[in-house]
Amino acid sequence: MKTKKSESSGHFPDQSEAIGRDLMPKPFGLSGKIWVAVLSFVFLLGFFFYIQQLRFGLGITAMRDYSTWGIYIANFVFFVAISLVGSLISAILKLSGAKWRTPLTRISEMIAVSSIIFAALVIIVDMGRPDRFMNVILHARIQSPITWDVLVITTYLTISLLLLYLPLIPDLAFMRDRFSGIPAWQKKMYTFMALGWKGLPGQEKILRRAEQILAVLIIPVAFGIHTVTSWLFATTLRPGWDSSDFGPYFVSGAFMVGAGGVIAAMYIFRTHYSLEKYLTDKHFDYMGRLLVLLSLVYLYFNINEYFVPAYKMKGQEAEHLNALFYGRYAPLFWSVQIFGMVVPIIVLMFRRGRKPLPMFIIAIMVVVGAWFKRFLIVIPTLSHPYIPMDRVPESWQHYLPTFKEWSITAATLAGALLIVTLLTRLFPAIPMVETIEEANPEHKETEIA
Amino acid sequence: MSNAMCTTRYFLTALRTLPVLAALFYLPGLAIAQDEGSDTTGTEKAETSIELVFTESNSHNKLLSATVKTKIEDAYQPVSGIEVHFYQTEVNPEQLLGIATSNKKGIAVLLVPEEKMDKSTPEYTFIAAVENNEQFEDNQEEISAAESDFEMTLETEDSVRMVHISLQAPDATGALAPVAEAEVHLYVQRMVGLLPISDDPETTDENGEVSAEFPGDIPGDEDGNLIIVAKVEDHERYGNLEFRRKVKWGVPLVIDPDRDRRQLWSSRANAPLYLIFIVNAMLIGIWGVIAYIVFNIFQIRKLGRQQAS
Repeated sequence: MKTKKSESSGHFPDQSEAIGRDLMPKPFGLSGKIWVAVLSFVFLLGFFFYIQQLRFGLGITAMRDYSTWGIYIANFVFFVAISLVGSLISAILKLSGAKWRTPLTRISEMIAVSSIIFAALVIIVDMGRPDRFMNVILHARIQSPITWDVLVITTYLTISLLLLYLPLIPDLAFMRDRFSGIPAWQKKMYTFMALGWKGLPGQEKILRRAEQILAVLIIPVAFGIHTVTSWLFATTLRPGWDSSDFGPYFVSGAFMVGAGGVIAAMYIFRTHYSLEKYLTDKHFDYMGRLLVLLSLVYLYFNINEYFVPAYKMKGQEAEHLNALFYGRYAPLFWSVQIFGMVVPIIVLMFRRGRKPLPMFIIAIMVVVGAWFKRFLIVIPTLSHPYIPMDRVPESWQHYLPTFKEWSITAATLAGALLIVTLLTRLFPAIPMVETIEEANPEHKETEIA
Repeated sequence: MSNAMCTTRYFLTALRTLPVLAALFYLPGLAIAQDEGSDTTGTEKAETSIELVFTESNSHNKLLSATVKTKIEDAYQPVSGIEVHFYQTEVNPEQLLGIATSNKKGIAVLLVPEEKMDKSTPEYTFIAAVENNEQFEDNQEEISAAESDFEMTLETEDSVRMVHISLQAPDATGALAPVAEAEVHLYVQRMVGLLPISDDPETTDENGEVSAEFPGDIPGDEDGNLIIVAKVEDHERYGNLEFRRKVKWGVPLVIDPDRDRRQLWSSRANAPLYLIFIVNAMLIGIWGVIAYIVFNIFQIRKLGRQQAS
């Protein structure tokens, strides 16, 4: 056993042991258990209501003839958006040579995988007859953006899983060889998943090449997934959706919320697992700068999206915009624009604003704002159809989600957080071997030689 | 160690919920949102309600239609697959006209066989009965209808298309006499229903006749054929009377030559070739790379095994 250790990862100096100890997945403490219990409760409550939805149909929601898409679809768009963080950190920053991204890659991939899993599940939740789900595939119409969405979500999920798994292989081998006192099943799982990794030059070469290929591949697919999601709206003739810049508008918003999500997760992991050495102020500062840039790009698209139709104020567009600017959606609209975008840009422009705690608060504002932003994209448009609402029940003319609908939506959010939580319980949230190699570059070079 | 075991327990608990999730998606009975038909298990027989309708079509086809329902959870639900016996005058095996089974809407329809009808009087009584059923109590419903002669003729007079309708019925002597003040509805058969061609029904005059102008702008089939339907609905003496006639009074349908072309807005079978090519090329390209990455994963494993051996 001792020999095996030295073969596989024994080239690391003692410092590596300390890093390994710091970064190894740790059992839940009391707060962790409470966190898991709360998430499980929210998830199970929503699941209970989903059983009711299966039994009684979508009638338990507030969706009716006009608001056929409610918070389920808003939530779907949110999940797809936040999942883009995987490609931002693991691909765009990797290919641009930003070394500081190392401690953020695993967290971002975990968020991406859990989000995209729940994005797919939310679509099934939104179906009145989920038992007919296979019809979407068996009778797919290739001209339909919905078909493209199914294809691109499946592809993006697969690539995200691979991007999570491949960089994990050396860490799995490290844990396989160095960890003692863990349950046998966990050890077996690490052994199986580590694929006999021994850090051989041939293995390293294949792994690095595969990671590089995936990093390139995921960028167009990431742009594709959110562009196609935006086309679900933009290819319909409806006020607020009938826009040619919906693709970049969605993609820029997705990168912004993704960055916000990863910053919030960084802060929680840093404080909860005492990872100040690895998730330093510098990382928060860089992510803050990145978030400002992404927010400014998103602000630019927002101005385009609202200013141009507001300048013309034609027909139903005017009614839709008036509802957003001055009407029943105005408080939410201005809150989202100000607290979810303008305030973060202003605060993060100052160095003190890019310290961990302010960054965490801003990140939460960005993520919450982004969720309600999706609500504002989906719902008000459906309330303003081109053909006037005539002779329909009053309740059909407005959409106010039911408690059961909120619970099911909360369950999907809790489920996504639960996946991230359980993943970090089993796997290191910060790449161990990569961190060790970056701390001891000469050892890495010796090994390769 | 204890913390690790605790986590394991959480994980196993989560795993145990998976079969429940799987069952939800794969048990078809659970995944159906609306109940169809009725569930009548139990020892006591359930009560039924029967609604019986008589329709005479084109003056010779007599149809009896019985809708059978039963009360479930304070609401009447259709009973499908139940046998309904149809009689004339009284419930008696010798007066049995026929048996029909209800469809999923609970409707059993019988085309009354002419040879079994007792035509000794011009007034008939028809009975629909649920009998000797294992799940439902016996029940019956009757309806009376009188013999009538409902005719529709179509004429073109000076380029004006006219629909003439006459309604007569045998009087006490057996001779046909006009039926006045009967409401007649005119329709055109469309794919999924009847299109009324006037807002209000026409009313027969003292001669039992009514005439109406037929519009000239209703689309027909490719040859301009339309099916014109005249109906007397729910008449207290004659029941439902219906007359259908096919005539070339429609505007011939010109099939859009683009319909069968490959367009973005065409059907699934007529997707544009460039789109099929682009989507498939992207899928093959991207999934080919994914397959290559998976192959690399196996290569990593193979190298590890070679080193171990």
